[in-house]
Amino acid sequence: MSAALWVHTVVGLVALLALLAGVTLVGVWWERKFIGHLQRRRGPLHHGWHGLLQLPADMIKMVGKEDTVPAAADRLLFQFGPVAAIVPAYAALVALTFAPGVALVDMSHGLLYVFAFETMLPLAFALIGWSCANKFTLLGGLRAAAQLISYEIPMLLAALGVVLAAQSMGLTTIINAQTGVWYIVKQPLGFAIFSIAMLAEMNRSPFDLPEAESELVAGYMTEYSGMKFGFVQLAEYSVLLVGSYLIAALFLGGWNMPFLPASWLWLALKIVLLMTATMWIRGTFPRLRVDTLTQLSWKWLLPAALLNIMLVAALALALGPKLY
Amino acid sequence: MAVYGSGLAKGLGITMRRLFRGPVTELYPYEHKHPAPTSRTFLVMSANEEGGPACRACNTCIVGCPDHVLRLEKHPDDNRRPLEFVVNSGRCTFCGLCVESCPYDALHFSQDYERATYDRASLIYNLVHEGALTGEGDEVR
Amino acid sequence: MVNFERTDAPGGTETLLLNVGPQHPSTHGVLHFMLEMAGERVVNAKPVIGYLHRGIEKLAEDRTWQQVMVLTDRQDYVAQFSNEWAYCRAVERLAGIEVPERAEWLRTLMCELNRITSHLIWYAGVTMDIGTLGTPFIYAWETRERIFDFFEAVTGARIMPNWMRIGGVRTDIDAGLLAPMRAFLADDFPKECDVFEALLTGNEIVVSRMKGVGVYTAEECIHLGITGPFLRASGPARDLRRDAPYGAYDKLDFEVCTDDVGDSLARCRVRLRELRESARMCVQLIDRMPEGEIAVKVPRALKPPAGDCYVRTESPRGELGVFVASDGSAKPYRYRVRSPIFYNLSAMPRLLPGHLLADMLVIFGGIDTSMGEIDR
Repeated sequence: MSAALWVHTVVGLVALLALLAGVTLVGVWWERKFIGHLQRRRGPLHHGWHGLLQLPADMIKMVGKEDTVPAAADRLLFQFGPVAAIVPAYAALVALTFAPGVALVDMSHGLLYVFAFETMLPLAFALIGWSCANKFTLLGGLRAAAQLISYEIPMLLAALGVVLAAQSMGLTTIINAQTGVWYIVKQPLGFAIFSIAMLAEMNRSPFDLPEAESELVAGYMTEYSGMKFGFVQLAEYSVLLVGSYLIAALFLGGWNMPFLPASWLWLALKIVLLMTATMWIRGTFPRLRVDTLTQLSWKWLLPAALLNIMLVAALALALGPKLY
Repeated sequence: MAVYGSGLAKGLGITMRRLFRGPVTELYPYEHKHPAPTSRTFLVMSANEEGGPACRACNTCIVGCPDHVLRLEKHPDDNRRPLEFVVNSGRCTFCGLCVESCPYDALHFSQDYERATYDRASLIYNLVHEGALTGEGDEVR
Repeated sequence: MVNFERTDAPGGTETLLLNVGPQHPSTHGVLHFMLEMAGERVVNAKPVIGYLHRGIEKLAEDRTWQQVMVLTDRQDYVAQFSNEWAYCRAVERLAGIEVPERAEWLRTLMCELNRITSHLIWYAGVTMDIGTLGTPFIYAWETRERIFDFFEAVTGARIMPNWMRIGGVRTDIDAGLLAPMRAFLADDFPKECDVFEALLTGNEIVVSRMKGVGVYTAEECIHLGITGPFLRASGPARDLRRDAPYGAYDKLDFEVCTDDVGDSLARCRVRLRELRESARMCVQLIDRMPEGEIAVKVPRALKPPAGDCYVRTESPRGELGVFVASDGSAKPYRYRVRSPIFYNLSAMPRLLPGHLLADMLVIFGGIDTSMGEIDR
């Protein structure tokens, strides 16, 4: 590899890490403030301006905590768990295109790459749940695996509709195909299915069964203290970032905005609005039960997704590539 | 599933509307809440016309207290004056039976509720010490 | 040591023994349930209580009749006025004391306001259990604050009022306090109830979670001694406020809220409707409150004649019964409480097996436990 490529890779990886850390820090702060104000209270207020330094304080606390390992736990898997969660989540960020021409690796099959890494996460959560030698975490880990696997299929099928329309799996190509009309207008059913499935993949309410606080304390993460917990949270926010990015890129036009010049600002705005929408939903709705959750996926979203595919294919054939 | 949505949308609307109504929480300790005048908080002894304690050492409050919170020592010179009147507020449940039962209205509640301390011993305080009012609790923060 | 015999799980596998509680985010108070589970399904359930036992009934034997009032507040710490009133009625019946009419009306008013706060605590608890992050919880808490400010202005304390006396009540409520409360109950509170309903029973996710969960038939409930909104949600309209009226209840116009499905959703609906009925009752009470004395003169060292007496009241959780026995002295000989949730909870092991773990929490929410009353 040439030196320029090395530099590009390293700088890009560090930038992505910084982006991830930044999104987590600001995202958690914004979540606590937004949900607080939804509940007519204030959220963090005292550290920094309106609580901005609360998260760095929490991170310092987390790093300083004692790293406990339960006596009966499988040590190797226990220590390996957060790594198994954060590496795929971070690796998926590599394929994302943030502005016309700005990407670490501009892949022609970026979407496939992202989905491939996201599907490694159920394994990580099940691993974590099993290794803790705790019945609550075992239940949480199994629930996480069941939920994530069930919702992958409608998600992939809904994304397939977009791939059909854009004739490519590369993220840049898909976004560029939406300079005129966004795909949400052309495939509203696909958007709905993809959003719901993505909400489930992000482990957010109403699908936050794996970390059902009031039932299983903290779900599969109960035994993790200190930085391990921090890593799993980082992985979760990475999935949140990737999920919001995918919804924005696949259906909401990415960096395109009607009547306005394309820029990464629009993409950032859309991602922020989508994240806020997930927080809004989180603050309002209770969580679904395990069997209702899986029923929703298999009985409703999957047939709807298949129907969506057929509709998209039919429309694409009928209207031809110019109009569709 | 066709009906799915209306209830959810309504819920979302409710929370969004509340978002714009503003917070209802009080910024304690920067904003103090003043309890109602009838509120049962820490005890304070009233003064009589001469400035001494209004208590006449009749023991009615001691008998009325369910938790053995109050301790009274009579004055050696005068049987109707207290020498020491000690309140163990760590045991107190703030039921108000002492205030209610005093026939001379000597005890009343201050509006003070911020008396958390770091050790148990400082929760025991004198309202009357050596026959004179200590003025404990008279300053309302 | 608690004895727990394991049963065989289907398929020859071993069952999982799961301890829900005593420290758990959603058992209200320190309730400990030992569940035997095959996967996510409960095979056997056993409640372990006693973590909050403070010996209230024994302590009552060492205090004078008036001092016991302080203890009654702390039984069911959520519905304090019901406890106080039950005890007062028992002693008044034993001692033959007649309470003035205004005192009865005042007692009824505070008890119905307390029913509202108690059901709001239930609402907050159940919405937390099923997973809403705390939004309906805080909305309910906001409404409760208004009522608590009223309680503080009248009785002097927000939660432990110690307000009823044998023979009447301690302080009077003047019109300056009643008018804003009436305005709040008549105008703002029904809109708040609409919000509460929209966030709980109007939400499709909640309906999917609660519909058909924990169906208990009327016969089962009656045979196991279940009372209160739990029973009324299965059909029978058993409400002591109407069947054996006391206080001012026979002069009020209210309806007994029932539902005939008997599942968790029905229990939620019954309690939400009871919120509205209580608010209506309070408005009637404030409007028609008679003038008069608030207490009769009772000797400080009250010595009821020897004998015993049992009195039933309708607390927000069911039929609260108080038994007092006197031997003619200034202290009670025996003070015994028939706690409604104790009986509701002890019926659970018969009815729980077969449900999922997530359903268990929904069913617990429907019971509306208050551990202080179970353990005393």
